[in-house]
Amino acid sequence: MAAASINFRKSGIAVRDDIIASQTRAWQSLAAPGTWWTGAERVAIAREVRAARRCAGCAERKAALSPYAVYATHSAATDLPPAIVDAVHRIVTDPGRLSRRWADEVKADGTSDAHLVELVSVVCTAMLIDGFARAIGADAPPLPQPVAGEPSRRRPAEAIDEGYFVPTIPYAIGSRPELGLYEPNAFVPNVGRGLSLVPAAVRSARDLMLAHYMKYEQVVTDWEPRDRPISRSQMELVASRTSAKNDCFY
Amino acid sequence: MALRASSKKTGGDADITAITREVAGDGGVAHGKLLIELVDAVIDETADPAPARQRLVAAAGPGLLVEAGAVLGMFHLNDRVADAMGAPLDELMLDYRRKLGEKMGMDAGEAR
Repeated sequence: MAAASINFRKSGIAVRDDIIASQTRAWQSLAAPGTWWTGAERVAIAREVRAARRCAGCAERKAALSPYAVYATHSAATDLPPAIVDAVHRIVTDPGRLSRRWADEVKADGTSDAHLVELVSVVCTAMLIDGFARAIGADAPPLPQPVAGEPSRRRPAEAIDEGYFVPTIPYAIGSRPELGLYEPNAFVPNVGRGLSLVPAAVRSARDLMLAHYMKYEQVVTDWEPRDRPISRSQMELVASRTSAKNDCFY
Repeated sequence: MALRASSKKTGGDADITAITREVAGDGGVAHGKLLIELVDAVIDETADPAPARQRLVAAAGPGLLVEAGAVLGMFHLNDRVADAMGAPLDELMLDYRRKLGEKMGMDAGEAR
């Protein structure tokens, strides 16, 4: 079976090679067994991301004063357990009202903290790829075929409670060469460590970040994208407006 | 924070309130209104982004469309990671976040 690849040739729009390459790596990784979910489960999560964007129950909940004011009946596209479907739909359609209570409820329903982190990573990868395609007027790429195999189920012993909803790996530990999780001697914003209970998810996000935006360490510098047809101010305007529209608390 | 700083560096004066206004404006950034209209249309699943896309391409070319799409996609990821994982605000952003909240009429950044 051929590995999944992404291209935008049909759109007639020229897309930077490094964007295509990073999205292809993310898509292939999404289809493969992860650390806690199988490839089939990861692809099912991505399928549920697409269903959430058209889910009437999610629209009703989003319009409610509190996400707990309505019991959303989802237009599910998979046979994932209802609690997982609900978690995916909430992350997609109402991210600004996710809370510690929400994360605790997902975990209390039988999803481990590490499963939750990997689920978030898969949801976010699908959102990035579909959001990019929608922005440039391309069709969303077909979901990849799942790759058989078992998850590695390796939990990093270095992860501790740092005040997130889930354990994370501190910068001082994750930047050591043997882990290679964060750039050494560089600023890594807290969001860049959010997925570190699943190190592969951090590496994938870093790869996407480099092609689509910039290195984490460049965020607090006056770096300008001189080789791209966009200015830093334009990048930050798009980033800020997107975050505002996503009701991003951070 | 980066919007304001990057604008000043290039001699501009970006208006950060543009990011939360209902009606799109340039915010002191070249093609800012068109970029904001694109973001709004892409994020609203009931909207058709084609007109906003066409206006941006006509004014600035397809390269800016691709780059804007890349940043938008990345922040679909970053925003959700931050919110779903409960990422604490970074130290260097706390004071700025407080001042920004005052300027834009938002809360003072209470913990959830």
